[in-house]
Amino acid sequence: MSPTPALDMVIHAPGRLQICAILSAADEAEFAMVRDAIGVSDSVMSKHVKLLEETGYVKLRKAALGGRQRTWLSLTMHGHKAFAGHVAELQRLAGLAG
Amino acid sequence: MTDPVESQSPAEALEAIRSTRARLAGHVSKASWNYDVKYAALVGGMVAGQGLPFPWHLVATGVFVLLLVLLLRGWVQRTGVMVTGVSPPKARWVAIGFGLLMAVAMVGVLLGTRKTGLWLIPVGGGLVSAVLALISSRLWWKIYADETGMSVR
Repeated sequence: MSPTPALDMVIHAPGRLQICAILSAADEAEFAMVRDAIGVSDSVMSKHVKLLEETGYVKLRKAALGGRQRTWLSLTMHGHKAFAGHVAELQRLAGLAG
Repeated sequence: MTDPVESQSPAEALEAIRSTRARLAGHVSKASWNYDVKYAALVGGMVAGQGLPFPWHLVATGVFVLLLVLLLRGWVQRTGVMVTGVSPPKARWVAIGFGLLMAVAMVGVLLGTRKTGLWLIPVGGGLVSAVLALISSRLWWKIYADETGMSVR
């Protein structure tokens, strides 16, 4: 079933869009890896993640790996659905513009 | 925090998604050859281990499964990304198909060795399985990179 196109302003912000793009392609990704991949500071990344978590789009898990405590991020089902709908709407709008 | 939401057109947003995922695919695929060779060797060893007498073939299976888990754990630790073989919608079929093929190979080596006593069966079966594991793993990476970099799910 194709997702319902709907622009989501929480996801549309460039930083959060990139975070969702990464998380939608993996089961889980580590906070620092995502931060480096999108090229933002720790504090900016934390703010993005906090908003995504509060909206119910991202789930956080803390786990020790290699002797260090790390934070792992994953998209929730709700987040997957919202991101798919957002992308479908972007594709629809880009099609209209093209 | 201000986000330049209005400054990003739909086409630019789609391009940002594609380029971010391409970076992710590049990041994880850098570590993948090293992983694939070790993975292939462990799969080959697990299939060949079925030629050992009872109960050593069970011990061998347990040891190789544990080593495969440790290999995946090390990879996740190095890359900061967790992707199970069956998660990506398209690439999962390579993992499922290969898993079934290896199950058949393990049973084949187990029964073939018991019946004939030929050492060539576990050795040959292990080598062929290792080569197939390497091919299927490379194929999985390619499909995963294509679907994460080019399509949106």
